[in-house]
Amino acid sequence: MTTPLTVLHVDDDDDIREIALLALETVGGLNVTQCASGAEALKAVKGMSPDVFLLDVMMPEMSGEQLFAALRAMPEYAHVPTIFMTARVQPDEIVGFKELGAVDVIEKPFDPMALSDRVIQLVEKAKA
Amino acid sequence: MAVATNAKRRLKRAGLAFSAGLVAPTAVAAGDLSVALIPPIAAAPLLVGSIGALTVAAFFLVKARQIRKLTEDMQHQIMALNEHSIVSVTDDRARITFVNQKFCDSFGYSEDEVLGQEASLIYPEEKFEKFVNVRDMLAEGKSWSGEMRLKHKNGAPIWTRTTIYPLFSKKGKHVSSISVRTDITDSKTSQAAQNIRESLHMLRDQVFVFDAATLQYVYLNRAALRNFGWTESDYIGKRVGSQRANYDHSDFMRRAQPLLQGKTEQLIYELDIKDVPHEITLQLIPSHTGRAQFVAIARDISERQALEKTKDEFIATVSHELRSPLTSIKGGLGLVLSGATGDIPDKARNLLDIAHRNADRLVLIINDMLDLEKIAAGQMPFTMQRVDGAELLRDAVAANTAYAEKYKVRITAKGLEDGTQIECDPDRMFQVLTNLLSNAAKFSTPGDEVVVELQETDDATILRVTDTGAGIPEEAQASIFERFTQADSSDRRAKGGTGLGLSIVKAIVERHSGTIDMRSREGEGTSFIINLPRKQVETYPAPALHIAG
Repeated sequence: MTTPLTVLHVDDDDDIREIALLALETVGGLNVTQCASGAEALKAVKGMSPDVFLLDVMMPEMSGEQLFAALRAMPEYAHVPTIFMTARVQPDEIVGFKELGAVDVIEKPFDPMALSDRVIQLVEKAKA
Repeated sequence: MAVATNAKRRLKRAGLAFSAGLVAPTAVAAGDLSVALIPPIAAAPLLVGSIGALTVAAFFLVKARQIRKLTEDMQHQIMALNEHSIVSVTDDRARITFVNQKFCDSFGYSEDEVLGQEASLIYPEEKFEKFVNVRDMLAEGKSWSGEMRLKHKNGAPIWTRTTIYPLFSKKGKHVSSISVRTDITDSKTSQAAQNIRESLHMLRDQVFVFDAATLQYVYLNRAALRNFGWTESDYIGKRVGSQRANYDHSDFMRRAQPLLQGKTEQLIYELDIKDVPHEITLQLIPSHTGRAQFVAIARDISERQALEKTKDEFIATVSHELRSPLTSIKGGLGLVLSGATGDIPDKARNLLDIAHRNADRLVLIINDMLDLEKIAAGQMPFTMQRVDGAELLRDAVAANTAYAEKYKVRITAKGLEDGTQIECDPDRMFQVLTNLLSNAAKFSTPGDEVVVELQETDDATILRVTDTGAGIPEEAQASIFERFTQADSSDRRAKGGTGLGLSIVKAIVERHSGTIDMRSREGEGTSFIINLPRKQVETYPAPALHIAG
C-alpha cells in the first residue's frame, strides 16, 4: 500500500478549505495541512515534507504567486510540485501560471469527488 | 431657331407675339413690313409732285429704318432673355403653350412633351398645392414672384427664382400667363454644401474627404486641421499620407477594394493617430462632380476604451467573486450527494440534486459570459491554422457522443473523405461544433440522428449541423443568436442551457470572417450552416489609412 500524499493547501476562504479538506482527506485519503494565508503557510511548511502545494491565487497580503515564489526561494521546497487552485482560469492566465513553474491549474469550482484523484495525477505527471 | 419659329406661330395664335415680348418680330420688321411699304413708295410720284413724293418716300424709309432698328434691338433683348432665363407661357387653364430652349434644357423635356400639358408637370408632388395657389392668384390678376423648387424630368430638384405675370384680353379675361425663371440650383446646392461644411466644423470627430482616385484632400474639418496644425488652405494639393515617407498608395487602394467594388458600404477599424486610439469609419460617396470621394471620420475612442477596460475588470472581478462561493456551494452539495457525509433520505436527495444542478448552471453562465465579453473585447486569442476538417469533426463527434447518448440520439459525420482543410482556430471551431452538436442532441427526440457535415466550395468551407428535432418556432428564429435567447425560456431550465451558447458560436464564427445561418421548420428540425471563407489566415486586415501627422 503506497503512502498517501501530503498536501499543503492554502486558501483564505474558510468554506473552501472545509470543502477541500473533506474532498482530499475524507474522500481521497490524503494527508492535508491547511493554512489561511501565505504567511501562515511559510511558517507551517517548516518541518513538513509536503508532496504537493495546492495554492489559491487571489489572497490578501500575499497572493498565490507571491507565496509560490517564496516557497521556490527555499531550497528544500523548490522542487515540490505546485498546483494553483483558482477561479482565474482564462487561457492566458493558465499559461501565465504554468510559465511561473506550476504543474497545472485546478479550476474553481472544482469537483470534490474528483479532486484528490486530480491532485495525485498531477503530482505523478510532475515526477515523470 | 425652330423653337422660336414655332413659338412665334403659337404665340400669334394666342395673340401674344408682341405683348408677350417673347418672339423676335424679325420677320415682320425686316421682311414683311419692308415689302408692305414698297407699293406706297412706288405710287407716290403719280399722286403728288416729285418733291412731295420724295419727302413721303424719305419719311417712310426713315420710319422703316427706325422700326427695323427697334425690332433688331428687341430681337437682341429677347435673345439675351432666352439665353439667361427659362421662359414659358401658359393659357388660362395653366396649360403650357410655349417654352423656350432654356426651359427644355433645364427641365429635360422636349418641346413636344410639354406643350399642352398642365404646368404642374414641373412641380414636385408635394408642391401641387403651391401650384394651385399660384394659378388662382394669376386668375385674380396678381403676379407672383419668389423662389420655387421645381423638378426635372428625372425627378431631380430644380431651384428657380420665378416671376409669373398674368395677361388679360381687352375684355379683362385672363388669357395667359408668362413665367420667367432663373435657375439657382447651383447656388442653392453650394449654399447647402457650405452649411454642411459649417456643421462638420462643429464636430469633435475629425472628418477627412479625399478624392478616391488620387487621395488628394478635398475637405478637412476644423478638428482634422487642428490635428495636423493646418489652416484651411494648407491641405490644398496634399494627399492622404503625404506626411509619411513610406506611405503606400496602391496598398491603401487594394485594402479599400471592398468599398470601391461596392461589396460593403463602409469599413470600420481602429487606428492610432498620434498615439491616441481612434475608430475610423471609411465610406465611399459619389460627388456632384462625378468623381467618387472617400469620407473618413476619425473618432477618439480613448474614453470608450477606458470604460470598456473598467467593464472588463468589473466582469472579471464579479465572475471571480461568484466562483468562490459557488465552489463552496457546489463542493458541499457534491460531497453530501456522494454520500461522503453519510446517507441522505430520498426526498432530501431530490432537493439537493436540484440545488447541485442549478449551481452547475450558474458556473456555465459565468463561463459563457466571460467568453462573450472576451470575444467582444478582442481579448480572446485566436490562433489561425490549417487543420484537417475530418479530424476536427471526428473529435467533435467523439466529445459529444456520450452526451448525445443521454438523450438516445446518434451523431453521424459526413463528408470526411474529401480531405478538406479548414483554416481556423481549431480549439474555437471545436467549441462551436460542440455547442451546436450538444444543442442538436438536446433538442432531438430519442432515436433521432444528428448529422454534422463538411463541404467544400470554390471559395468557402461549409460546416452544417442538422437535427430532425422539434424545430424553432418562426417567431423565435430572428433572435436565436441573441444573448439569453432560446425558443422557449422553459427550454433553458429544462435542458440546462445558458442562453448564451449560440451568441458565442456566432461571435467565434464572425471572428473567422465567416457567417452562420439557421434554417428551421417546426416539427421537421433545424440546420445551422457555417460558411468559412478560404484564406482565414489572410483575413482582411484593417486598412492602413495613414492620417496621423
